[in-house]
Amino acid sequence: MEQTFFSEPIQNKGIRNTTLVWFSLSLVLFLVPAAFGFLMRSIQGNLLQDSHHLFYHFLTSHGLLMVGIWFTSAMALLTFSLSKYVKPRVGMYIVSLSLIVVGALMSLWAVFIGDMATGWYFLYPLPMRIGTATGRIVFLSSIGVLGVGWLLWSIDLLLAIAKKYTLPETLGWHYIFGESGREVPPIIMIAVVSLIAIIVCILIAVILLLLYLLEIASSVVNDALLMKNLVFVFGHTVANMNLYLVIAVFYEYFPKFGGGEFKNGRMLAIVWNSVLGIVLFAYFHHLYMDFIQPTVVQYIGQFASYGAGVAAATFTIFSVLAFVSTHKMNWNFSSLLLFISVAMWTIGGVAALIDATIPVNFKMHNTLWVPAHFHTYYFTGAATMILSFMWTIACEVSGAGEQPWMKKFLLPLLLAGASGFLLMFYFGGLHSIPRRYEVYPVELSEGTAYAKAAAYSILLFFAGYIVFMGMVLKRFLRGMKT
Amino acid sequence: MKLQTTIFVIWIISTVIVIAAFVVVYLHSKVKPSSITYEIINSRRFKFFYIVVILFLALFFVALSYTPYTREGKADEIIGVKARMFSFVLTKDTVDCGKLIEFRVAAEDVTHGFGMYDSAGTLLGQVQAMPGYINRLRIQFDTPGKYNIFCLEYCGSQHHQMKTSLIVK
Repeated sequence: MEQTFFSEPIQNKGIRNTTLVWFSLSLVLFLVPAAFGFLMRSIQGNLLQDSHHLFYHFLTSHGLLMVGIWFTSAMALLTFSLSKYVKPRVGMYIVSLSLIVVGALMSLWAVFIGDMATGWYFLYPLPMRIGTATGRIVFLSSIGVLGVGWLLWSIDLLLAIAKKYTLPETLGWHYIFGESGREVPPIIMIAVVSLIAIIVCILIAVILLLLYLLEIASSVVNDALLMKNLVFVFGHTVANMNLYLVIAVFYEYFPKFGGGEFKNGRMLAIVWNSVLGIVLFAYFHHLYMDFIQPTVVQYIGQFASYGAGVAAATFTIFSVLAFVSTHKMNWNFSSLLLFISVAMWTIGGVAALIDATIPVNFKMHNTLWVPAHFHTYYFTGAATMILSFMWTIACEVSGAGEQPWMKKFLLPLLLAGASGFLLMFYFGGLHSIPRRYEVYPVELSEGTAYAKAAAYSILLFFAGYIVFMGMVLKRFLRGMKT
Repeated sequence: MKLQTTIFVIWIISTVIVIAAFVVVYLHSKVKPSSITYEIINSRRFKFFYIVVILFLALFFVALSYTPYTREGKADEIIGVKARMFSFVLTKDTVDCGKLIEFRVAAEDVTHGFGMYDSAGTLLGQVQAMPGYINRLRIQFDTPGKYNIFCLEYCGSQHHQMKTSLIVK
């Protein structure tokens, strides 16, 4: 390896090996929800006839496991990267990961054995109406166990940071108010903002779960609108924080591919402090089609969604383009994949902002336009950033470099598969095809052809992914032995 | 042009611009660095910031004029809609062309979606059907024909079969 980025974190054997074990597990586990996704598109495309009765089970587990795996991997990546500056506790790291694995297994049991095919967002009161009684308890408990795992982990990371920096320092307030103070790396500031938001939304999820338990244990009937607000402030924020956790690491390491760095400063601090507020209000766009929600709240949702877009475009994306255009970059597999993932995040972000516009949402929400944009910025954006960092780490821990064919063949293969799969969602959105349909009605039969093409594209992606996974796992194993 | 097509075209154009920007920057990074430094480009950030903010503010206020929430004036006809696993019950399934119809949408069991499609399969508008609440959706039908109503919120194992229709004469 000509460059070493993670030399300090690699020295911490406990953090390093725990991270490598989780990364290895997540690379393999990812195949499970990915296979569910493939099966769903195959069923919709009439390529599979025998698994129709499991479609909504696949749908539920696909969403839960994907968010669970990538959110946890983002946390692991952050923990690993932060260990350059602070000392997270290995014990808590392992406890959190163990809880998350248990939670994921419980959710699988609840969905497939307990028949809790509720969709990942378990929109009230559907979980009270379907599945077995045991399945209901296990399903809600699985969300609780996952939440406890993430909560403990987030608190531990914040405590580790607090041992070295004060809260005003970590939030960059001395930059904002023009006071003197020590330099705080952007990774610390972005991590703190994200972790605070994560803790807030997990606490909201606790309220949601308690309300469910109250209804199960008594004759109380919950308010559907309140429950919907609670589930989306949790779900939306967790999914977005997933991206921000990775962006924190991105700010630290991406400029190193050009021999530079992103420095903290007044504007960056203002933006990330604003993001903390913006992100907690953007979720309202999930409730645009609930006309009984106060109209001013709907407008706040659109304003906050646009605000998140302004912050992303004028800071992170602008900085990346400005940096790359003025530096001689070392374009290897990892840096190229990172650069592409920022482009995909931007493309998906544009589609998301379009959907966050109320009159558009009125005619496109709950069509395939929605999975189109979130798969673009979440999967080919955030998750791909994690994969590219995994590759860098794999090369560094093993001392093995990359082969030239990876850039020439593997990258185009992955990109072609992912793009084909995504485009079919966008075409579906164009033709008003509803999302979450096991079979498309004859009046909307274009959806079937798009689903079929998407299934073939996923196979193309899988071919590349299996090769990538094998190469990373081989390097991780070598790294763990040294 | 229907809104979905306009949106798709806007997204395609945006995507081409984004890809072009990233490709140009990528190619630029492979040649010898020019005299333009990161600091110089960084100083132009505010100009870009103001352009983006003005664009978003303009979009925001334009969008507010077209939201489906306004219920000024009286609708020509009111149709009650009850959504339940896995069917819709409408108080009336035939309406006259050109009239402003207000659908009062409620749910009996779980949350459903009420999506109105024209005969060409284009989504004209939607609203959620939520237990304990009545959502009011107004649509004016300017073309006679058969309009399909599909459930657009996942509601259980037969969600994809939950549909009905409305005839506009």
